[in-house]
Amino acid sequence: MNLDFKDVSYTYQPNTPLENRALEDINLSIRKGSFTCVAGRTGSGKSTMVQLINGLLRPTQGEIVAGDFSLTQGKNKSIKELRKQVAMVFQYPEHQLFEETVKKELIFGPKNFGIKVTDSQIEQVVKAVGLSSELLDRSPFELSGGQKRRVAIASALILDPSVLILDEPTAGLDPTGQRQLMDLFQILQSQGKTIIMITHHMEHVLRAADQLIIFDQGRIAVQGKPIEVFSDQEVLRKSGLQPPDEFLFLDELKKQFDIDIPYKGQTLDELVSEVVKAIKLRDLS
Amino acid sequence: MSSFIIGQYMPKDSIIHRLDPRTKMLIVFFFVITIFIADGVWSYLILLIFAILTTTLTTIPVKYIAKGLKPVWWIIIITLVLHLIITKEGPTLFNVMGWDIHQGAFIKGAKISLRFFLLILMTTVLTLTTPPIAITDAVESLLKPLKKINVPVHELALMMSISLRFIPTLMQEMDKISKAQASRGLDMSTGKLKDRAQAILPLFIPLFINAFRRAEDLAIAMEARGYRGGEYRTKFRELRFKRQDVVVSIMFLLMIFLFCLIEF
Ligand SMILES: Nc1ncnc2c1ncn2[C@@H]1O[C@H](COP(=O)(O)OP(=O)(O)O)[C@@H](O)[C@H]1O
Ligand SMILES: [Mg+2]
Repeated sequence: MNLDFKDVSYTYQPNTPLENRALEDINLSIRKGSFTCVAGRTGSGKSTMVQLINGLLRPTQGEIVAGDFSLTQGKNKSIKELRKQVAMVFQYPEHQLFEETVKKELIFGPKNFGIKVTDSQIEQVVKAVGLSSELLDRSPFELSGGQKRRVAIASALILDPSVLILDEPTAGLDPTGQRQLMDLFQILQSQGKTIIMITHHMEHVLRAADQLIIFDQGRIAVQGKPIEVFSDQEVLRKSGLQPPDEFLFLDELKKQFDIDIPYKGQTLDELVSEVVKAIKLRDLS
Repeated sequence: MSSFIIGQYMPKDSIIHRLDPRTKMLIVFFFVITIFIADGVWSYLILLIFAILTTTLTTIPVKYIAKGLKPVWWIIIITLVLHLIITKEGPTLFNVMGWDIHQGAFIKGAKISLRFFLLILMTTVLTLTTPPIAITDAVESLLKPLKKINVPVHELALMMSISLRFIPTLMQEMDKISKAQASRGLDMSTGKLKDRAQAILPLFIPLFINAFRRAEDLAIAMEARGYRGGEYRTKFRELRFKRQDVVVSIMFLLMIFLFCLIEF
């Protein structure tokens, strides 16, 4: 499903002295099957924005259109149907794990939504997130932090949602674990799922995302293709972010040696050979 | 989160906020006693004026307080109505659907409601203007004499301050947990009663497990910093009575004096 935010604002505890305007006049659109990354400082409104998508929060103003669903300030009856299709994985698995075994944890969602899952589906999902199926009969509380995170992701995946929302899914994982999960998310996208991911890792954004939305103090600072967004380092820095190393390196290269190589998604190897070529060319002339 | 404000703290910079927490606690303590002694209309008027004056001085919007006390309004209305129905004192005023409404019922109902209202209002003003930590400090300081008879005052105060400190944390956590489970299709608002009761487990198990983990972390952190309880421990926030405390206390005593003149 396509997702559209139309002039959306959200205020926590409105009409009290503790009123907190977390989002202001947000307009954005996320196409079906795309990979969207959301970035910005802590407290800039990222989590609030994604919670509006599956109806956990209701916009104070404006409208969110998610496929056939329209979310406004009022109540919606079909919200459960929406949540079946838009799965959300929160940052801390500790906020959801409660069952005796990993397996029970995984079928909690399907049971609530009235979906039947077979053992082979469970095995498949567990394998996809990189867990061994021996863990299925263990208590989720005995697992390591990374394993808990994977169980949480698996418990969303087993619903076979068309939109998957991930709130900082790679935070606190080791580099290998991060890469494994990023690979998984890209595979899921290639299977036609829409992925929305909050992250602080700009290198992941550069690898995977079709669209990058950067929030700053409840407003969208900039949105667009990652390569385009990263080329304007001024805006990026203002929002407390650093472009990936590739951009920093090419920038420095231009400043120090006056060699201008535009970044168009080259791999590290390709970049090296381009730089070598450029240096040789300059030495010749 | 609801807008219910009993027990909440609202940071501002008013004279009431700046008072020593002990002054505030003692005034509220004696005020509550006076509420239950009060009998005549004029005594209640004095108490009401004092309470309203104090509330105004906090500079917290009255609308906010009124809305935050919504459940209390309901209790007051129900008390009043019950009194009108049950109490049979004084001459009959009028008759509603076969029920005699007596004059004494009005007076008694109004009295009880007003007592309850004043009680809640003053304690709410206390908690709205005093951070929980300051309340704990005040309790510890006021109870200090009990140390002589081996009451573990410092430990009790510590337990109180830790509990108070973690209430907002637990509420935030509950909010996050219920969002996480709602995303997985947990539905608290529809279905059979039995299903709804069962829906509590996915909320409370993570909450308790996290609370225990946090308690353990806190204990380790305290031990690592050499915490040994009350002996030889100096205070970071020293409580000191200032001139404003004296002024406010004198005003309160004047009110009590006036109250006694009228009442006795
Ligand atoms: N449950 C809540 N109640 C009140 N304010 C909140 C709540 N959750 C978040 N906020 C506030 O809303 C703003 C945006 O928060 P959030 O969306 O969590 O930011 P991010 O995910 O980018 O770190 C922050 O100022 C935060 O303090
Ligand atoms: Mg967040």
